[in-house]
Amino acid sequence: MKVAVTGATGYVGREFVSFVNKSLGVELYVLSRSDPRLNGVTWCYYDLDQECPILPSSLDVIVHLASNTKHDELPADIEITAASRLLEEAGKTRARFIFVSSQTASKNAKSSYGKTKWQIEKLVQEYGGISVRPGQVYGGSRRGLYGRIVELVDRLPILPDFGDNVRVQLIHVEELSEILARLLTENFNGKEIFFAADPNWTSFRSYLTGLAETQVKKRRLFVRVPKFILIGAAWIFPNHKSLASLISLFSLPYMHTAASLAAMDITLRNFDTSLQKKSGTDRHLLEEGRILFEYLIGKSFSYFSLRGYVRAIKSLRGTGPLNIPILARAFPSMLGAYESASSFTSSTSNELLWRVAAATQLSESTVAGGEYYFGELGKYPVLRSVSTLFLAGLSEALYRSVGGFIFCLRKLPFSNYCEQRDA
Amino acid sequence: MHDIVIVGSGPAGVSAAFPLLEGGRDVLMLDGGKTLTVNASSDGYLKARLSDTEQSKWMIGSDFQALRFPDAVSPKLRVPTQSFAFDSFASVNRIESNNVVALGSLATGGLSNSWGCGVAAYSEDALETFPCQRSAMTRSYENVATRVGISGVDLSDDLSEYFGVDDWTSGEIPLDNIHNSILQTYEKRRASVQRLGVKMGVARKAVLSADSLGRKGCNLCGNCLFGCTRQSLYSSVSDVERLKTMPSFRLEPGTLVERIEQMDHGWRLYVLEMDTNDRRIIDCNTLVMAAGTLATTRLVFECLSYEDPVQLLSCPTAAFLLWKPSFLGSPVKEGFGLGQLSFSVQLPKKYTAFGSLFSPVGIPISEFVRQIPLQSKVSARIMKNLLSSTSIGNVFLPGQLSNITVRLGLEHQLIVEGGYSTEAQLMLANARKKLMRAFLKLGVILIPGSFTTGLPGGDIHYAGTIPMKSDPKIGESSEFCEPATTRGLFVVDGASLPYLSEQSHTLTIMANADRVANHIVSQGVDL
Repeated sequence: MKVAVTGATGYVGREFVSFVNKSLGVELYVLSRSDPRLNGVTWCYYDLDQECPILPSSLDVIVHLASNTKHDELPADIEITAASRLLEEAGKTRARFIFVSSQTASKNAKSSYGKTKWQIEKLVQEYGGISVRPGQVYGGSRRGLYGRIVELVDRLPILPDFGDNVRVQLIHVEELSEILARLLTENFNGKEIFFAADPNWTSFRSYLTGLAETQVKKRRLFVRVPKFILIGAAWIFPNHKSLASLISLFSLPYMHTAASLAAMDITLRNFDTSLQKKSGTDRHLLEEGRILFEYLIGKSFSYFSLRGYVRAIKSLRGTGPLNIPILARAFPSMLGAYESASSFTSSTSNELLWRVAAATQLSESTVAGGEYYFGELGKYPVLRSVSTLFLAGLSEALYRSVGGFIFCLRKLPFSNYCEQRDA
Repeated sequence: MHDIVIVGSGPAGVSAAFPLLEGGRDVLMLDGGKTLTVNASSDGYLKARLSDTEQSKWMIGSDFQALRFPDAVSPKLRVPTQSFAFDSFASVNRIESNNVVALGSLATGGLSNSWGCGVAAYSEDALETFPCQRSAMTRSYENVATRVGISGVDLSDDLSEYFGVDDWTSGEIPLDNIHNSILQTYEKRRASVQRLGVKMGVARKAVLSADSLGRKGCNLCGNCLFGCTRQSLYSSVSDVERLKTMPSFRLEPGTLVERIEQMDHGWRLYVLEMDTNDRRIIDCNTLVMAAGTLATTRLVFECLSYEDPVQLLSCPTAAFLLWKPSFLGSPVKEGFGLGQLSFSVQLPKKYTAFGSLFSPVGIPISEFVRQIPLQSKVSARIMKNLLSSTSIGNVFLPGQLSNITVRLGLEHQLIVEGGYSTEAQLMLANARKKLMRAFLKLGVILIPGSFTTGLPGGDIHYAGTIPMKSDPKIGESSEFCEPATTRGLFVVDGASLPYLSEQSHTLTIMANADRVANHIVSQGVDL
């Protein structure tokens, strides 16, 4: 699958790109002003106010994350023009189009930002694409608005408390990435707008307290600050980004996210615990699933089927991802050696063997699996079968001997058998 | 006070119900009430596998049924569309097993929801062990065979006499290419194969080849393992549906019988409503037990306070993989997924082994991968390439060759334990040798090392714990399946069979239930 992503160097973009790149193994084209320098990713120069770069003719999806962050420097309709150019480009290859909008998007939004997003959503809707309205995104690397808020919490010994009316609907950046990844291939009954956030409000004060405790590890005092002071300050310093962002929180419309989350069968993690927990279990499991599936069938799989692997491991094993050695990470077929090495051990409950067996069943039960096992044999089927059988025998012999070698050297760091990661 | 209560809606239960209702009696049927939760695909198997984006629903199950039981004896137990048939039987019926597979069903339709559809009539010799009149059994075989619908061969073949059901078959299910070719070779080399004691023919099975009474004829869609959405494969569920249209019949699903007790007049059942966990009492004049051998045995032994260990007849089994090199590289096609060809093998001491050959196409590849001691990737690749040139075989030996016993435990649970006799091991080895040579003559290689002995009890053919005898002692039953010392209690499932043939025994259980029910009708109402 070929996917182009704009805004890939931003806060959400970076997270999404690394997630898709690692866990799903799709072919990625990153459209941005600067080269993100990621392995296995093709970079194309792109700026909102310029023409679209030429995209591969067989592009499957465009994910439009880029947003004009220099409000005052560019006219608002630049974003709209940029979006329609991208849509035009998508139309050429009939690619799916996923637009990351904003919680503030509305026809009657107070900010031009919200209005613009709403107009783009309309265009996307006409094209038959999907818009995603994320709530307040948190977690991961400290970038974007999230980064600025953590920075403030770190710097200010006393934090403002604007009362319970200033509140946010949160979503972890990894969860948003997952939702976007699923939209790459899944349709969800033609829903046009997805609301991606906790259905419950979190007061801004609790949000800051949480960040102070987990990210900065400092206790913070709060001082009640009436709203008008902030508005006054913003009026005095019209170019102050953080102030402008803060003000936008005062008038967030409530998003009814439950239906969107239910359609995707997603339960968001709890904010209070998610920042403390070592996050990324799902991501590691997804990557593990991808490696196992690729080892078995040698194809890339949709997020949907890999998600099945993650859910299976989480609900049946109750343990985290395996510590797959770097060699097997890079060359999934090396897992054959580790599988052999594991079968030399006497332990009958070897976790790797269990997971390979589960992955065999799960990867088989997909359209890609069906095609692998039952697809056309092509020309010279007999010759092909004979040679495949011969090669299969050869690969068994080869990886088994490597496996034996690994078994003998099992004390060395690179030759662990994919045991459980430390909790 | 009910007239007649039948416990169980499997093949035995429904076979008893029809004659009783036709004889003007009132029937209340109780069963565990589990029903299908996930449907198999209604498309052809290959089409579904190549295009159904939600195939994991029936391949894996939303609760990961297929991944939960990596050690289960049969793929059937992993298939999410069939799991309801086996669900929680042993625990709620208080069956405890030691190294023996002990299964049963709480489903409406019982184990027939997930059976191999093999049918045969017992031979003259086997029926010798029955204390009843042979003619009564023959009549009953005919009754049930015509109701079930059996397909076989139009003309007779080498197994006609062995199966003994050809008088009642109608239509054929077309063989797939590889089995057709094996059969043709057999017909050419019949003499040399028979010299080894091996005979071969088309499998006789309870499958409709054409539409009949609301069931549809087989369309070779290949989804057999996952459940037949056309009801071409016989399951007593379709008979339960027919029974429900009869006015003197009532089904109370979700009712578990926990204890039975003989009263001065008739029987008292202590039952548990499985949905609400409420307990209540059901009284009846006549009680017909068809709960499946293990469940019935426990209830009857508990009622009789019978604590001696008793032999459980269960067929020792093995499975193997055949490879026909001349078919390597031929296209994979879906076809009938249960028995295609059958064979009998003459063994020493007058024993006979029986088995069938199946196409591997409709079985998940992972089922083979788990058996092959190579890297999963390699096994998967090998199977992918061998799929169109392989066939799977199974073998059964007569039930008395198992050394399995059942006895009532201190907590009134039924303890099932034991294993195969040494003789069974020797017989299986003998059958393997003969089959290997016979198949080689047919241009088919029995893959060395693929011949795997099944776990004791893994055949899920259980019988003979309360056997019919002409002079029954306690723990045995009369020619009409009434356990000694009881009155008005009839055991019509496998428990009352005195002999368990290597052949498929379901039709015999059904015929026996039909015979007993006719006897109950002829006795008239006992006042």
